[in-house]
Amino acid sequence: MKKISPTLLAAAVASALFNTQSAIADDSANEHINDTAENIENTEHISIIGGQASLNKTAGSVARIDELALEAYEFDDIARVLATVPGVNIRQEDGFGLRPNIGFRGVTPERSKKINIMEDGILIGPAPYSAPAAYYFPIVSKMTAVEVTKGPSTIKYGPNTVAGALNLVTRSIPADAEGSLDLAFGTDGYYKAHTYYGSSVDKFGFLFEGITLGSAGFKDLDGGGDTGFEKNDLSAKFSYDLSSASNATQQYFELKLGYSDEISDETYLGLTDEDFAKTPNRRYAASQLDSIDWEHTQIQLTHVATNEDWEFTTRVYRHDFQRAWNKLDEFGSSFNGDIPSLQQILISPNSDENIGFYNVLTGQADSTAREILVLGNNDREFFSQGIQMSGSASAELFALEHTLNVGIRMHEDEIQRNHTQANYFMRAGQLVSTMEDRVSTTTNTEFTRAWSVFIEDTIEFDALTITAGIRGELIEGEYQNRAPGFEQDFQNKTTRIWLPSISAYYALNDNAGIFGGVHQGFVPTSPIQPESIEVEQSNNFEIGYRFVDNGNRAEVIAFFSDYSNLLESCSISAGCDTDTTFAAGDVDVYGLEALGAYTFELSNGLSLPITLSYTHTQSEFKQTFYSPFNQWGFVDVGNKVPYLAENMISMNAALQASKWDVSVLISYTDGMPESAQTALSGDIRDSTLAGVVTDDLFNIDLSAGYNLGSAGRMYAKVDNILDSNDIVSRRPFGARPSKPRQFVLGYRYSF
Amino acid sequence: MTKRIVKTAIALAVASIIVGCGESTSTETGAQFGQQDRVVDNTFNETALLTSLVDKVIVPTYLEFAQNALALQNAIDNYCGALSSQTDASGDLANAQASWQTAMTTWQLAEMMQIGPLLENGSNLRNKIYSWPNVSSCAVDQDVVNAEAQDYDIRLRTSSRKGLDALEYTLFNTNLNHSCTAFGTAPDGWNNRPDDARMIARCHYSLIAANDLVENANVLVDAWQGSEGYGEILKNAGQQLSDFTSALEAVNDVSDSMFYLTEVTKDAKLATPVGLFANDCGLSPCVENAESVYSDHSLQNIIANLKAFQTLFFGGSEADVGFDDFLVEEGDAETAEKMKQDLAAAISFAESLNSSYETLLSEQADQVEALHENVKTVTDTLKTDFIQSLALELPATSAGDND
Repeated sequence: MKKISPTLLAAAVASALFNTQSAIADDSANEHINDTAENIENTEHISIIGGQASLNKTAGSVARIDELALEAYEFDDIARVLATVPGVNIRQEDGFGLRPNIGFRGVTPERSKKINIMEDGILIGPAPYSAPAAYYFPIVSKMTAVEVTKGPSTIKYGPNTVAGALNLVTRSIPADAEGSLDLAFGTDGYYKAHTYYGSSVDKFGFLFEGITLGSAGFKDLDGGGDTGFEKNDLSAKFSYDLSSASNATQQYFELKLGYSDEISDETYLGLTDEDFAKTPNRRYAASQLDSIDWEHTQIQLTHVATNEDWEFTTRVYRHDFQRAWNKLDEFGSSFNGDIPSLQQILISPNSDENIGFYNVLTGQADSTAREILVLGNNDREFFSQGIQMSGSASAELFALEHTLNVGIRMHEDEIQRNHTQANYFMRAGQLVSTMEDRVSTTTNTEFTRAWSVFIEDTIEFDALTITAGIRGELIEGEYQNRAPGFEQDFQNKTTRIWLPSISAYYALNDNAGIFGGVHQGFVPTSPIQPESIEVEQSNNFEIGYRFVDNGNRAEVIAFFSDYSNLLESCSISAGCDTDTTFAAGDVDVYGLEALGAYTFELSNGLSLPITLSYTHTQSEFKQTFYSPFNQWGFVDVGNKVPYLAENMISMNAALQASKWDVSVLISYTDGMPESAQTALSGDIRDSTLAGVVTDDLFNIDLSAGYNLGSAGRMYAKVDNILDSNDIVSRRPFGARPSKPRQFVLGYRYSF
Repeated sequence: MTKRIVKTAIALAVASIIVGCGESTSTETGAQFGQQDRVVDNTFNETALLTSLVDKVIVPTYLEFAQNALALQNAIDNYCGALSSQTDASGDLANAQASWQTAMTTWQLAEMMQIGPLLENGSNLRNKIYSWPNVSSCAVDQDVVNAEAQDYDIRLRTSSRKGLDALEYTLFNTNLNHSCTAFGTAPDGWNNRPDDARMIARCHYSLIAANDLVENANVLVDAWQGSEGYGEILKNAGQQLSDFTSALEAVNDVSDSMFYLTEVTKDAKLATPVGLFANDCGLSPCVENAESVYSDHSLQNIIANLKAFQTLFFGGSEADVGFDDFLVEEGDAETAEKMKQDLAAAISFAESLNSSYETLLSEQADQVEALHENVKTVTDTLKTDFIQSLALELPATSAGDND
């Protein structure tokens, strides 16, 4: 075996992140590394889910957006990045995608809490088990690939196996000295500065990367004020190669350090429909103090050992996250009594009960003691740490070629909530403290220690490849109320589950194949949830056809998720004030994903790659019930799950020449129901948004670049070229707009 | 061979799903965790307590209020008649005002008894009768004029336009100008009308509101009486076909209603006007934030609240089966005695205050703060020893209060 270069080993590290994809790859791990290295040379990015060949033979839906595709649009918003991936449903919120809501195959997208979000193969959510809401999301602008795994392959990436995994891939350490400086400016005070430099010297490699990103915001606050954000991200990678020509086993270490922060003047407060129609980008005066401030640090140490027969990866990680979001939560009254929710006020602002509150919200009237604005500061500290080991080996057994993948992870995470509230009066359009003491609302800790194992065997027999696997989770959760006098308010909870999967790919010929699979879906409950709230479980099925020929591609997949217990965890972003979990029992979600990609080679060296993607999703509750969860309310059999668009379609086309390129991304998403309840019944417990749907979303993004040779590359882009103003959702409180048209001009110098 | 593999795959798939059902969850919880099903091992007859509460406290209070409402209706009818005949109406107005005060005092007892029908559909019936603190004098001004239309139907109007709070404004407010300040809300031409016309208009509206009040009071009484009334439901709690899983659950509904003393009497009626909570004057005493500012009846309301709490606590009179007996049965005679003493002290102190509440707020705020402390002594015990000894649950609204 020849000596593996740092670059190859870097590729191996990256490959190991989604380690088992190498098993689906053609042959041995070593060949996989070579295959990956080839990709590096060809496309200047590292594939972590194997080369294209492995993707083509995957029994299940796996999609990758590579660095070239990411650079084409320079998107900072994961929602726009994922627009071309079928089976991805997203509820937009702030327009920038700062805290995205992503679901796959119909799982509700609320705070992306039902998918596994990973960075370089490691769970990156603040506390994926104890508090899965992804209030931290890695900065997309610096990623070199984005990968989406759905279907049976999901079983390798717990804890949430019901939907899939989203993996964000950071830049790998380059083999030779390499760097880049990317500067961009745009409308609404948009700016981005992104630079990196890395190299490998003998056995030592390093990479430094930094990015700062911000905007003055596109919303107009009543009375003036900032509505934008600032984000910074610094990271460093160091590697050391222990490989030697004399040793058959090659080894490699990599240390990754990261720091990021964000301050954004973001709010949960939207608008009434009437105000949205007049000025969609308005923000009411009551949101003038709203701001979130967070810091995130990460340290990851990776060791890879590999030889001709096996590879083994060990990863140790620790992430810390602190956030404080001070924002308008609700109205209060010194007289107690009935106080409408912000959602109720914004849906019916002119009613007798609500008009006074609406006038205060908009700053048109001063507060009385009956209309006190309550600002909650949800201060939370998280950590997530663990060690995960995975390996793969190939062997011939009973005259069949087996590729075995195994993994084990010991993970711990914790959330400490230190929530407080303070009261304000509206006075002449300004929020003025009532001078009352700030009070504690929620003071508790949730901690989880989870052991996960999986084993998966892939057996090849002629044209048929069968993969069977099982995942086990042992989850020990601890909840403790830390408020004085509530020492006995605690719970220790243990959950065990085995989650099997099986899938098959049958090659019809060298270019086409059919595949199918079934796996058990699972979403754990957090430590605070009582035993009576059962974990979410589902049986997930998929069947598909794939055709691949020299980069052109067609894929159709039908999926069906049979939930035996659909859960929703309700937070303020969903319109609640607690992290309560609600259960809906049996729910069916099914649909179709289709993808087509074809490159037209034109005259004069021009090429025109086009990608079309389509997703159709249907959902239905299988029983009639009432739930106090405000996205459900009174639900009848057959009602649809909220925030799932029936039809989503997108087209990505580019005209590419040697010196220049122009790309256009056109997407359409059906309006989505904002509640499972289809109409108001007059009952006080009605879901406030019963029967209300979001706008149909039609969006066109355009980008163009010109290569200046050694002098770099100029690029320009226009997001939302039609400047359409659509209601993307009415949650948490009121109608919220999509990002308006934005012009950006940038320059990148690489060496 | 291919068939064999396909069969194997199907078998594996089926086996996989079966294996996947192997989920198990176990928990260990602290005594304060969640809304746990409490196991109460006691020999106290909770049904006897419920019977006492229904027959000797709650239903008699509602019945008395229905009679008070009818008397108020008659008094207002007389007052309107006097106004229309252009005779001296001051005596009839005084009678109407006295009738309102009587009805209000009774209703302030009922305020402490918001259980079942009064709470349904967002306290709809309660708010129709009395919607404070959600009141709007401007809304009443508007409906005084709106009610002159042929098709006006007060039953379709929102609660801040009717009920005892609207009647207080129309019967006691001597300023005949409207109170609307927001642009576009003033009733057309109202301030240009002659005084007599405005008094008659307000009186006519008062009569409409009083008729509505009588109707709603009767709805309340009907909801509690009869073999299928809520009184029987409470008394039969925990028995076969009952909506309550246990009699204690029904007792818990009653104890929930008694937290009115904490959230409304102590906080909204005392702490807020005196400036312990933010009010319209900041954090200083604020006369306009008292409950019944037009009638100067705020202190009487508080006293009635305390007396209602006391009556509920005793299950009627001290000799009846009440919460005090329940506490003694549970071995906590100390709490029973303390609450009894503290309640008596609070009532005694409130009755000893000779000035009007508004005067107290503006001139003797320390007396209001002292009354607040007296009430707080009771509610502190209510939230702790009372609840714990009787294995009751705190109402959700009380869990995060500021005490």
